[in-house]
Amino acid sequence: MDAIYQLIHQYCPTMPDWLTLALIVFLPIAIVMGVFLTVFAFLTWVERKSLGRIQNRRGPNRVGPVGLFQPIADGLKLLTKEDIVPAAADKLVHFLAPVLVVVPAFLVLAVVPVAKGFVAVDLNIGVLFALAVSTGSVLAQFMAGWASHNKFSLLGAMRGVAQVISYEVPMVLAAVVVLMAAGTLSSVGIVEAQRGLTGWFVCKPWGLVGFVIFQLCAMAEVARTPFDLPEAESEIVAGYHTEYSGFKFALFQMGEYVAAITMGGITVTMFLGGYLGPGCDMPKYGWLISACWFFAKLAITVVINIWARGTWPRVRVDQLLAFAWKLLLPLSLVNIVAMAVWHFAPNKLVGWVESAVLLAVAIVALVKFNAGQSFEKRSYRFTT
Amino acid sequence: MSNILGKGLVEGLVVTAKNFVGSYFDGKRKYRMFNYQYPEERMKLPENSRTFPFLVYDGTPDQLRCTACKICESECPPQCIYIVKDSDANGKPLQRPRVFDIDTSVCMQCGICAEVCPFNAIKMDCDFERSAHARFDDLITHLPVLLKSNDYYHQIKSAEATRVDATRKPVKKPAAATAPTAATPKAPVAVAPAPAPINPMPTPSDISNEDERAAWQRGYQSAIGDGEIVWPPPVVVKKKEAGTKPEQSVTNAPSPAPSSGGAPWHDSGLDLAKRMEMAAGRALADKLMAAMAQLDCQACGFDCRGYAESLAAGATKDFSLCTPGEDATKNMLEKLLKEAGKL
Repeated sequence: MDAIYQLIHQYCPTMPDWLTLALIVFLPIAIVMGVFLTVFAFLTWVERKSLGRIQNRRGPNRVGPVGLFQPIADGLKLLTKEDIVPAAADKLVHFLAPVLVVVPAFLVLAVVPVAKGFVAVDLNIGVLFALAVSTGSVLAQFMAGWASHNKFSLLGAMRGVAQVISYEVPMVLAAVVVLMAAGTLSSVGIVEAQRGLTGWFVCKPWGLVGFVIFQLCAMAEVARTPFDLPEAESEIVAGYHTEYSGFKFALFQMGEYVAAITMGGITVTMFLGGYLGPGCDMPKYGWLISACWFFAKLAITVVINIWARGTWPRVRVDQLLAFAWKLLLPLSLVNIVAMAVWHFAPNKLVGWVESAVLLAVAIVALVKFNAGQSFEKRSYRFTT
Repeated sequence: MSNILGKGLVEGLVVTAKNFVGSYFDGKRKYRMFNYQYPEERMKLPENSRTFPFLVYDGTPDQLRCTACKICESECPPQCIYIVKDSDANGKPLQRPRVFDIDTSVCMQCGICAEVCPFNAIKMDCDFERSAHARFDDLITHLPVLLKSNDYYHQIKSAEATRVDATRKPVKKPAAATAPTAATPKAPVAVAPAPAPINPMPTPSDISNEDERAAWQRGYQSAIGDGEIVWPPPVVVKKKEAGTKPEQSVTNAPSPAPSSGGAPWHDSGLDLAKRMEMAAGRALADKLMAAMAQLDCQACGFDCRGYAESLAAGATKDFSLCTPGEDATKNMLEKLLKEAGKL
C-alpha cells in the first residue's frame, strides 16, 4: 500500500484523492488476483510436467511451446463442457459449493505480504485471519459432498472434514511458536521479525520442527497427495467433486491449487522469512527484488508439494489420523515448550542446545511410543 | 539403524529425484523417457508382434504365393477370411484367388492362418495404424490392400522372413514355364497346365447312398454360402489339345479301375480315417484320392482326382506333392502305393 502511494505521489501528484484511494484499495487486490491466478494456471503446467519427468514421461507438450498453453486449453475445454447437476442433488447448495471453495483461498491471499510494502491488507491479526479463513474451504467441501446426493461424494466430504479438523490443531500449535517469537499476529510484523543472517525462523530448532509440522499440515489441509483422501481416485472416484463437471469442476481445481499456493505463502511468511533476502531493502527496486525473493521461496514449497505428490503413496485413514493426533500434536506441544526454553535461555548458544536436545528427545520418544501402531506392516495372503 | 522413521520416505524422494534429473540429462540410460512422440516418432514393433494378416508375393504382385487352397479360410476361428478361387475364361480353376477378403473388424489377430499356410503365403503384419472411417467399406480388406512384397516382409520381420526363405520349398507349379501364356494374357502366373477333368459333383437326383447325400449337402451349403458358385457348375469341356503334353496324356488315360459311384470322400471337412473308410474296397485311384486333402488346391499340379489317377497310373512317382495334406497324406499315399506294389 505504501509502495503504491509513493509511486502515485512520485509520478502523478495531481491525481484526485478519491482516485488515489480507489487505486490504493483496488490495485493490490487486482494485482494479487491476477498474479496468483496466473501462477495457479502455470502451476498446473509445472506440476504435470514435473510429475511426467518423475515418471520418465514428457508431460503435456502439444499446446504451444513445450505445452505452455495447456492450462488455457484446459480452461477453454472445461468452460465449454456440459454442466451436469444430478437429478437428486440439492440444487442451490450444489451450485454454491464450488463458489465457496474458491473464496477462502483468495481471502487468505489478502494478508500474504508478497513484496516489501506490498500486502493487500495488513491486518494486525493477519495470521489468525489466515488460519481461520483457510479452514473455511472444508465447509464448501462438505456442502459439495452433501448436496451431490452421492455416497462417494459424501464419503469424500466426511474424510475431508475429519482430516482438516485433525490437522488444524497441530498446524495452529506450530504457528504459535512463530507468534511467540515475533510477538505479533501481523504477517508483515512476522516477516520483519525474521531479519538478520540466520533470522529466518526455519534456521532455529523450534522453527525447523515447526516448519516441518506446518508444511505437513498445510499439505493435509489442502488435500495434497500423501493426504488426498477426500478425493482419492482409486477409492471413491473423485471424492466430494465426483458429481461436478465443466467449470464447476474447474473451480474446485482452482480452489485446491490456489489454496496450496496460499498455504505456501503463509509458510514462507512464517518460517522462510517472507520477502526478506539480500537486496530487498534497496531504495528503488527493493519491491521487485523482494517480490522475487518471495516467489523464489514460494517455489520451494511448491517443489516440496509436487515432489511429495510424485513420490509418496496415499496413506490410509487410520494412518492419517494417527499421524496427526499421536505424532504431530504432541510434537507441536513440545515445540512450544522448546520455544519457551529458547526464550528464557541466558544466551543464544544455550538456547540452541537446550531446545534442540529437548526436541530430539521428544521426537525419539514419540517415534518409539508410536512404533508398531500407526505404521504397522501389512501382510498379504498370497505373497511370499 | 535400519528403522529410522522416515528412511523409506526419503529413499523414495531420492528415487523420484533421480528419475526427474535423469529424464533431462542421463543419456546413458537405456530409456531416458518412455513415450514416443507418436505422430512424429513411430515405435518399431518387435518381430514377434502381430496385427493383421497380409499376403506375401515374390517380385511382382501377380507372383503371389497364395494358391487359394482355402486352408486358412477353413481354419480361421472367427471365420473372417473369404476366398474365391480364380478361374480362366473356360472355367478352369487357377492356382490363385480371385477374391481374398479379410474382415479386420472380425479378425482376432490370432495368427492361425499364418501358421497353417503350407505355402508361407499369409503372414502377420506389424502395422498398427489401421483405423478407418467406415466399418463395412474400409475394414474389409481386399486383395490389393492385402498384397505386400517379400521385401516388406523382410523389412518388418527380417529374421523370420530369412528363415522362411531358407526353408521354403519352391512351390510346385509344374510346367508353369511351358504353359501357353498367350491363352491367358491377364494372368501370366500359375496357370494350371492341363485341365484335369473336374469331377462333376453328383446331383441330388442320382444319389442313393445316405452318406453321399450328406456329403453333397455339405458341399452345396458351402457353395451357397460363398454366393459366388452357381449350381450346376459350368460343364468343363475337354480341350481338343489334350494329349499334347505328357502329363495330360496321363491324366486323360483311363484309370486302371474306373471309379464308380462318385467320390463321397471328396469333402475337406472329413478327417483322413473317415475318408479312407469311405473309399475302402474301391479302386487304387479312389483310395489314393481319398487320402488327399480334398481341397483341389492344385499345389501338386492336378486336382485331387487327377493326382490320384496320375499316381495310380505310375505317371507321377512323387507322392509328397499334396502340401495341404501334410505328412498324414504323404504317409498314407506311400502306404497305399506300397501295398499296390507301385513303389
